[in-house]
Amino acid sequence: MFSGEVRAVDCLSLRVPTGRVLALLGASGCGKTTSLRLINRLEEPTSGELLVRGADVRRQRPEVLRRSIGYVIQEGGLFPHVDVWHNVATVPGLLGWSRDRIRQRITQVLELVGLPESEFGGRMPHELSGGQRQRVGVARALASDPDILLMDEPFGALDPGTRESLQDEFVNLQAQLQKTVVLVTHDIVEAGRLAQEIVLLDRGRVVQQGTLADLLLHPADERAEAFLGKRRRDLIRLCLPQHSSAIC
Amino acid sequence: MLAATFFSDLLRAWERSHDSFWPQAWLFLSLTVRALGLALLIGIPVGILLTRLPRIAPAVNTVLALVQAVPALVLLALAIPLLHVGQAPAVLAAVVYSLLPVVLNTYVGIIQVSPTVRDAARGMGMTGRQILWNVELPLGLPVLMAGIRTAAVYASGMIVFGALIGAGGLGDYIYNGMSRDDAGLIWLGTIPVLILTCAIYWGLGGLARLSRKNSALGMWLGGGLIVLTSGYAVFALMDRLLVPSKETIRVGAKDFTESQILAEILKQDLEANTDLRIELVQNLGTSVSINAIKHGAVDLYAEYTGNLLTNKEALDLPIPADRSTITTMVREESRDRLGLVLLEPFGLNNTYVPCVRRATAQRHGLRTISDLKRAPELQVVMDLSFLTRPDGWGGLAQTYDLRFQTPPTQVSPNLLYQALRDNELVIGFATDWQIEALDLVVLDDDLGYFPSYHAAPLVREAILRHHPEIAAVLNRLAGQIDDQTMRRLNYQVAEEKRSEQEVAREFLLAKGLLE
Repeated sequence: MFSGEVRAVDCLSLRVPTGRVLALLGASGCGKTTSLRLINRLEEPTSGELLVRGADVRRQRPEVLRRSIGYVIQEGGLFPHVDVWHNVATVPGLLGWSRDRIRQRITQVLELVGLPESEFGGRMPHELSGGQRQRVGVARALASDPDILLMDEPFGALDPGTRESLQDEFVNLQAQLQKTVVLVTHDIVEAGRLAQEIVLLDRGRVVQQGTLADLLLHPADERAEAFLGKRRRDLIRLCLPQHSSAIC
Repeated sequence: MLAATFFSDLLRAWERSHDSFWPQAWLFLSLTVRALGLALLIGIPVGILLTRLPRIAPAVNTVLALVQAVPALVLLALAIPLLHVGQAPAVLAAVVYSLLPVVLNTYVGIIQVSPTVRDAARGMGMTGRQILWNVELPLGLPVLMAGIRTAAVYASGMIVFGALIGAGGLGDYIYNGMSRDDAGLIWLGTIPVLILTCAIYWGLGGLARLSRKNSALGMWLGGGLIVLTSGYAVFALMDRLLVPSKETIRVGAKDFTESQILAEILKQDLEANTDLRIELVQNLGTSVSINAIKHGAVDLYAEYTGNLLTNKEALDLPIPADRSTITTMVREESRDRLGLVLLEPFGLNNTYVPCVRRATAQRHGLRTISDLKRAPELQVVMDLSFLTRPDGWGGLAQTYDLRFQTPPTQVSPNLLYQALRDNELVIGFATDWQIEALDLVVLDDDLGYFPSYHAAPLVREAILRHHPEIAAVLNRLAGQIDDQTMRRLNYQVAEEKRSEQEVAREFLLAKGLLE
């Protein structure tokens, strides 16, 4: 369904296949977040063309476009003044769903992220742990069952243990849901775990596009090597044990 | 000891004034709420607008902070040329004064919302208006409520000050108490102001805490409060603008006891003997009262001929050589130039009077001012303004060719008679109650130096055209209040601490003008 072509930041040209996860990877300031925000028109391109579900985003009202795309940000970006239930109900409410349908869907989607509504629905964001907040952020993005998800460093602020278990949950969830996902991360391990396709960015330009193995085993140029740095060997041993001999 | 005096003072003030207490307390609260409501109505939208115009926000906030830095009294004085006297300028000054905390806290409350949260709201597909209502206002509400609380305190403080320009309310007690040195009356005004202000302060503080805990409830209660307050303010404003209080005659009173008694006499006389509704506008200075009646903010009040003659806001004329022509001249000129009618004088002539203790008079054989030439050793005591007035000390000494061995002492008016010793000559006023109480001898102005200060009702001509009965009723007071009667009335209020309402009523009953 989603077959968008992105030309953004600087001569960026990408295509995200439907039902797949694409990671925008790079150091901070490389333009990965800006690229992501162009998709739901939180940023406006100065030139180029951007298609979502085959339609030019500039022809769509930004609010309508955004409501049709799930959006997850660091720490969940939850509204601190309303409880979990009302946080998750935001987009369905904006879409004008009936109260019954919203109630039903929230129970369902909170179940999906492992936070039963009966226990967590009435809690305020500050009463949750970092990992729980992040789950609510994902549940909120999934609430209206959009076919596209944008995730900006979704697990960035979590401790390593929580991050890994949430990453695993995401992989399982994605196997069920088959959303089209664009993920922004500076963590190559995360990109490798969650995404089928990785785009390494530097100063707004694509350095390399491919799988984790492509990136680790065949860095395109010195910019790619610089991004991996000394960790490259460890990363290969860790992520691609079958190839560890290749580099040694 | 102190506590006992405090309670007995307060109790006495309450006994004297409990009839007027509840209306005054309500008026104070009503004016405060009106000012707060208008400040919210203007301040909240301006604060929201500033968050959308970040470039001009610092400039606007600076201007408002400067306004805040202007002393409250000055702000009040600045409102007079715009709206004259009464409730309107007091409310205006209170609105201006309480605007800063409302604008600033609305602005800060919204600005401090975390960018991540705002970004999430946008990313979720909320429109600007939805972000404002669902995210920015609820999250800014605790800060906004704190601002409203500050604004309410500023507004109530300014409304108390407003009594100085005739707005009425609890401030009346405070200022009357101050001018009469009546601690009980001051407390009677101050305590309820403190209680009401504290109640507003705690109430709004509780609401701010609640809105931090439960945002939805806070929005309902806080929003409801804002809507109710603003609604009341708009309603009161509309009521004033659309339904002008035509049949209400406003009687002015100056900021001293005698003028307040005379105003009360005029008010009760008119209430009893006409169908008009009467409202008092209290605590006006002489120039302010003249301005107020010229602009119709006051319809009538008791004025003195000498003031009308010399005051810059009135006729601003030199004192004629023949003092006996003053009343006629003032009457004609006031009517022609100011459109104000001077009715028949009450009888009292509250001019300056030099007086001495009886023992001093007997020792030096003093009956007239001319006799003072025989007593150059006397020490002259006068109030601060007498030395520089056109009808003051210089002219007096010249006219009577007086020379004293020591220069005159100047004191504030309410200290004139305190510790009056032998061999002192005090320049007092003809109706000062102390003349009677201290058994002083008033020296006769045998050369006719002092201009006359005959008190008489001064009425707007326009009002008399519509209500000629006012002249008929008030002219029955002609000659009924001579110097001695006035001294007695002043004594009853200033020294016996009775209320001017009661004293005026008693006087009118005795004269058969009231049943």
